[in-house]
Amino acid sequence: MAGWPVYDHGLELNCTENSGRKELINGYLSKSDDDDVKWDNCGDKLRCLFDQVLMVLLRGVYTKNGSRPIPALLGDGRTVDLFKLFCVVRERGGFVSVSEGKLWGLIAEKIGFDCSLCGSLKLIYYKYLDELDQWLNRITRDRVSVNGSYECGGSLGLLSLELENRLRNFSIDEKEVKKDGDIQYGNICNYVDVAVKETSHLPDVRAGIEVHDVVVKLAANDRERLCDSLVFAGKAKKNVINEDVTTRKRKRDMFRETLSWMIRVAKNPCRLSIGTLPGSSGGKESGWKELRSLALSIREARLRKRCTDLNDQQSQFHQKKHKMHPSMYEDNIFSDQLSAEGLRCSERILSLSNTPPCQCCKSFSVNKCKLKNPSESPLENRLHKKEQVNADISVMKREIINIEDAPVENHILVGPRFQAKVPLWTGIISESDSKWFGTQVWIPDLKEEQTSFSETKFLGKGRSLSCNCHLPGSVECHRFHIAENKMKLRRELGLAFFHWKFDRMGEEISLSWSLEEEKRFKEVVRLNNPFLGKSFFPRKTRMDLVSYYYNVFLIKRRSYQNRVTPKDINSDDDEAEFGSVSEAFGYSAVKVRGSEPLICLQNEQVMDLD
Amino acid sequence: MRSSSFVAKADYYPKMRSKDKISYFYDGDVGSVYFGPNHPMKPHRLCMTHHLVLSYDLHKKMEIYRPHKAYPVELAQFHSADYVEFLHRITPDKQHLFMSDMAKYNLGEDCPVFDNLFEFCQIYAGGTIDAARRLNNQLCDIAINWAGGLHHAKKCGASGFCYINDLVLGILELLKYHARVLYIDIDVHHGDGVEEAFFFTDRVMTVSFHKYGDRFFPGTGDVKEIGEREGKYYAINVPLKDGIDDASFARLFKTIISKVVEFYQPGVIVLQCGADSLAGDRLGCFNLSIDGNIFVLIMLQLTGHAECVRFVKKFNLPLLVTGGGGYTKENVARCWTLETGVLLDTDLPNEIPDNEYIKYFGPDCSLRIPNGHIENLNSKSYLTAIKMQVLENLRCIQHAPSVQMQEVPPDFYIPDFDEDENPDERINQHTQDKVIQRDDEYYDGDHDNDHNMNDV
Repeated sequence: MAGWPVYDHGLELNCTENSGRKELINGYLSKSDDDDVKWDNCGDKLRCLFDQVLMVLLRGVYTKNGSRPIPALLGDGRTVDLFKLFCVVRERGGFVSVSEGKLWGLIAEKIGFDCSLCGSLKLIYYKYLDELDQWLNRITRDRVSVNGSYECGGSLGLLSLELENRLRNFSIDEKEVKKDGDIQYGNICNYVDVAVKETSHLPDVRAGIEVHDVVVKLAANDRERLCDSLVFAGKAKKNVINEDVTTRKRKRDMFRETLSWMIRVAKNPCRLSIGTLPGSSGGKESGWKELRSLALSIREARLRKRCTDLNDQQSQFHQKKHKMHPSMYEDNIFSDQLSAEGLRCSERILSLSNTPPCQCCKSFSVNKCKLKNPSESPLENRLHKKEQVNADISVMKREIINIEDAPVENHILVGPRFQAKVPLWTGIISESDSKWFGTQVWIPDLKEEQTSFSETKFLGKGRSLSCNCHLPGSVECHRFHIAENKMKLRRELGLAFFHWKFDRMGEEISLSWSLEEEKRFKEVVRLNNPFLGKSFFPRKTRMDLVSYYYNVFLIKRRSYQNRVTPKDINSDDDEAEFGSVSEAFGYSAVKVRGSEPLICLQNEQVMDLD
Repeated sequence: MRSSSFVAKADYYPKMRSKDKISYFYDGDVGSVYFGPNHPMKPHRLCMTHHLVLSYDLHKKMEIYRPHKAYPVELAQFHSADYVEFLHRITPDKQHLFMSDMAKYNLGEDCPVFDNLFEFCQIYAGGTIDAARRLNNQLCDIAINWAGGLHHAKKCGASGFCYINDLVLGILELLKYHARVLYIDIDVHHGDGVEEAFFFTDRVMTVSFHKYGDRFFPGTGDVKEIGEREGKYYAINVPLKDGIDDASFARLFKTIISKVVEFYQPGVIVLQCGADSLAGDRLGCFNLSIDGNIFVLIMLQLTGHAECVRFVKKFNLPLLVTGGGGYTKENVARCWTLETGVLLDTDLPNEIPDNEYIKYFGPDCSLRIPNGHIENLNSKSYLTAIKMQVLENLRCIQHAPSVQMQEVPPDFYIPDFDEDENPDERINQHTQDKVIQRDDEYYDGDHDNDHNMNDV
């Protein structure tokens, strides 16, 4: 329970999120009203942030209008501190007001240049910083309209609003920075460091750097931001899970609900209402209180992390309107994804498409960002598995290692519930207790084997490409050979033919289906739930349906694909669109046409197929 | 005539056993098992495989058995009795009544409950157990059960489409007659269930080649996982990244497996041939072809999935071959049919004979599939590092006091394999292209001939 000591504090923070903390911060901020700002002492962090944001902007926006070399040089080769310039100008009301007030000389003096250079500075400001300025203004302007719509909750549209909100805060912070001196900044930094340390999940330095890196990237693109908030949430969850596993053993059923609750709570530290813990009323689990407190401590930790995060992002602790954390959208995304991907085999398929975080950050598509999320499910799963672990010391040891290494992958579980009982080898063969060796269904004809021994090397005969059919290669020809081979097999195999259900194989299955039923089947499959449709076919057994599906339906679809979309063939994806094959291909195709089965009707059948 | 291009391949291994007795297990009931809509595991692939095996007339060289349905008590040799009992009892209609148990045993989602679930488990587990027993009693040299190989299943729960771990059950059976069993797993997923079951024992060495990282299922299988207690160094993991190609896989496989067999001297080998390591698998991410070949210097080097089987067969040890993953049905059928042929020392022509399912193999209806084109993220240095690590761990077993080495099979044989052969000296693309081109020409010519004949 590493998080316990900070729990009370955290709760307080939670409750006072929108008012209390603001006051707290304002308290910090209002200590000093110095107009004269000591920019040089302002700390490298802020400067660094500014530089990176600017870089991103320059790269993104300014590329159209030609390049902007960094650092910015004056005519005489001296470099201009853009950060300082920007801050000072914004302090005086921005480019327009400075120009109108003819304050450029003053600005030049402020940042340590001669008044005569005011023209150059103006130009540099215009070229380098005006866009940033306007961008920040735009966001600030949008604030009012943004505020109204916060309540609605989580769509992507809102997300972008959220982003703007964040960036607006950023701009506000920039203003604040002007008012605050280095003292405040230092205080805040201290506070942040303490918070980070208290969080105890992330080593402070690393977290800081990571967060910081992330922020800069975020500034460029809102999708990227989504991405990173997912990374954060993922991290927090990892922490949650690790901590959880080591500290508690709980019943599984209880656990699943709790986990989701915990994640919800932990992820949304800003929400005042924590809600009730599911299962608590049931009272099955006496340890739920502990769990709850654990979750709360995580929530607290996360809140702190978020503070750190914001701090780094905005160089300030100040946050006026921050009501929603991007990670809140995560739930929606996750559930969206679940519904999109379906519930099946989530692990394999999702994990397949997982991308490492760095790629994720580069990615500009929301879809890709979503992929970050599935990391939860294996983790969850691991958690479930671990629930089962008896108090095995080695497991505990492993887990401790897990936490230290911030593991990405799972480990083999050890304990009496996992390993097989392997008897010691005595050298004496234990008696086989079984009379079961399987039932012989087929034994090769030894005589035949001997006679054909010389050719056994090439026993498997390939498809014969020559035949006596009227039109070799035609549909009828193929069908004839299939039937021929089938008859041959049937003759050879005897009873085994029926044991292996070869008699219930192939498109002949469709003979027992009426046209009407086939149509209906197609409809049901189109609804993407074939065996919901059991009720649609009262006279068919489940096995009939499966058999029809594999032997007729899929083959039909496949043969369509083979012909029409040979580049895009997929008989394994049930969701794949299937082309329009003729209504009753199976039936009409298998039906023997009177007494002329061998006459290859060249066009008719082919037309049928398409 | 058409097959002549494969003669060279077969002759490449002069020391093949002349005649193996093969037992092949199949039950027609598995074909109609259905996991549910959109579930990638389709037991119908077994039906397709069997059908293709017979289309190639391979049944003329082997005995085919219908496995007995394993009894719950047999399944409980490894699995916990409560889990087996639950599997036995649960049906799709009743599953909502047992939500907590479902969660406890990890059923639902990946491992849905469907009709005949338990019977399906009984069949595939019975097949592997029967196969092991036939091997034990020396009724055959090689036993094949493509329905088996469900390597994720755990002692007390299902995992990754696997409910009952037939491999563990089969190996336990083999352990009654053999001091040491070697388990090799070439599924794209880590063989975690088997490794976990034998994590503490030196009587089973598990070797798994799999994709590892990026949260790929099941997330275990780091090279650092080597077993514990007596089993320390008796679990080998070869973690690979996306897109490994034929050549590097074959090299790695041969190097490691030949060393493993040399050091460990197993009495019997169990080979899990999961076909999801093939290129184009729905869930996999490797580039393996079914039966590839490349030129190294002037020598034809066989690669691909089937080459692993061919290589393992050459040890002349009793061999239990099972299926495993594989989620692109037609490729699974292709792969396992070809591997059945490999085990029967029979080369199969590339043109799939006309059969009921021929359309699944369209439009070109050929047996061998090309390599994939996923970017190979396995750098040479990465593979070397992995190989060195594995071999280093392997050397530790020589010093382990608990190894029992009394049993050395009489016809023990380690095939020549030159591991020092330089991969850089593989033929360049140009030469490769030439080879491919020549192949094409060959077939074109063949077609032409046929047409001519028809015209006549």
